[in-house]
Amino acid sequence: MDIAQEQKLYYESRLKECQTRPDLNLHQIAEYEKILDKFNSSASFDEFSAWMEQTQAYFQLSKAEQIDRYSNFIKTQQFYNDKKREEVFRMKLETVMQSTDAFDMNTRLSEIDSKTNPIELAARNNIHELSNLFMHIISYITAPGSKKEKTLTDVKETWAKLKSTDPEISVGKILSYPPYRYVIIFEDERIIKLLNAVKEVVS
Amino acid sequence: MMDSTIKSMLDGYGFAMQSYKEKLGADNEVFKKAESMFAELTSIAEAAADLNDFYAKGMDKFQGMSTALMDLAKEKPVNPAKIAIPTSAQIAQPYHIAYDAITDIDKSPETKKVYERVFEIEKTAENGLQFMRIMAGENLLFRMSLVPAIEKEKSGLRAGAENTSQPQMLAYHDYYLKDLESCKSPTEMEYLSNVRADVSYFDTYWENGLVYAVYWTLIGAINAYIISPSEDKRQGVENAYRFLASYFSLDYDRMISLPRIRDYFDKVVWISIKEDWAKKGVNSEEEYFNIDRSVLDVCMKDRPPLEFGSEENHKVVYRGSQYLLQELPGNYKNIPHPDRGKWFKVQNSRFRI
Repeated sequence: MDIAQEQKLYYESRLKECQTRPDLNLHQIAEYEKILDKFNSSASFDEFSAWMEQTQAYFQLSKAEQIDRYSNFIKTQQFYNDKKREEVFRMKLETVMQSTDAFDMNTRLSEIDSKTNPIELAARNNIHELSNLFMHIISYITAPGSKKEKTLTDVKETWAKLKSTDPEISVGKILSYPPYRYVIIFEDERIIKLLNAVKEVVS
Repeated sequence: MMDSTIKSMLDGYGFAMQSYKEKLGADNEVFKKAESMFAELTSIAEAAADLNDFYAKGMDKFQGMSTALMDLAKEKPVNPAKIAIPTSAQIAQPYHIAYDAITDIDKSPETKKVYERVFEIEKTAENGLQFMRIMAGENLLFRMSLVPAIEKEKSGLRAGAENTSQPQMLAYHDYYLKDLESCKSPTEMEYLSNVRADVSYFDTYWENGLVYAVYWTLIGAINAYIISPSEDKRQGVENAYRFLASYFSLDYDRMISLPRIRDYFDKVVWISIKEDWAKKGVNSEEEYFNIDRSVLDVCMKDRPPLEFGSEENHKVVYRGSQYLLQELPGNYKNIPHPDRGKWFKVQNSRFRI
């Protein structure tokens, strides 16, 4: 068996797979091309293997895969205008970029989770509470006399929860921040009308 | 017998140690340290009752082994080109573990075919390198994730969403299956999965908000009145009905005939209450609606007529585009996707509170 040929064919297959969506596999394609270029230009397989070792080529491939993953996630969040989740993936991408070897990358990614998890959780909680806010406002508007106080308390408590995880929450932000708008079924006029009904809470 | 996961882990370390022995030489001081650490870890593994026991007793050594391997990676090789070639069986072992972890029920014919091919290559390949090359050439590394995911999507998840009136999940399953059937690399599969999951996450809240505002606000008030009629509960019904008229320009009959609401009523509400109502002599949806109508007649008697909002209020906003309530759930035909160009941006509102 020709070991050199086996390796070359393996890298060529992986490169071909990545080239099916080059926009999503940019860094991996660059790494596979670099390896194949070196393979073709090396005088011997020993020279190629030594280069693979010296340049940490296996690690560089795995780093490229992580860079592609997080870059793709960032692009997706940019498309959906979700600033918080974009920040989470950006932090992970920067962590990968700083890694020096496979162990270092795994350790750093585990550590960064303790910073990114609360941001991601807060972003998810905000969506949940914002959805609740509009339900509570509708309950307050339609409540009979006996339930007015209780339903207004629900609105106040929900607003306080939103404020605690998104200090910037405001009527303006509800209207203009896309992830908030994804869960609201109304256009601006009816949103304003609903929020005006609890003006003393949200202004 | 040693736990298969522990065995797999030790085999991995064993292979790495063998490889470093070739590259650094058995006399290398860092290698000797790592070898002693590996021996300790192996004896703990052999004595461990199960995986949890192994982690509890061997965590320090486990972390020590990782550090030792990091140190080994930094050592200058005396034999840089010397590569210990793993056997096919060594490389294929995790795939056996993965296959065993899939329950027999989930082992669909297509998934079986993929793994059978993997194990066939394991037997015929000369060594691990050839095994990996053939696997990559036949896209099997990717297909081991892809095929079970496609089979799972075809296993009735769609019907589950349809039967429980969740159009957003129905759309998710339809589009995700198409995504899977067309995607060609692991990165693409993960990317498309995330896009779909993000969309359906927000859409589930949107659907809940819709059904709550259009259906449950009024029906909840009517139910409360039916259970214990009072002036307070009557006021609740009147307020809710005025909300429906003002915010959506709908009366009861128009609301209940909206395709989206009727689907929800048929599949979620009626199915859960029809037996109880049958005991009271109410045997059809129409008879049940008549009860709601009679409650509304009582609660709105001698009250000012409903004031309907503008016809524009028949619309709702989904991801920046307006849809008539009557058209829903047609909005899921136009889910924005990052692969399909630019899309909506919320404009600065001219409204102030």
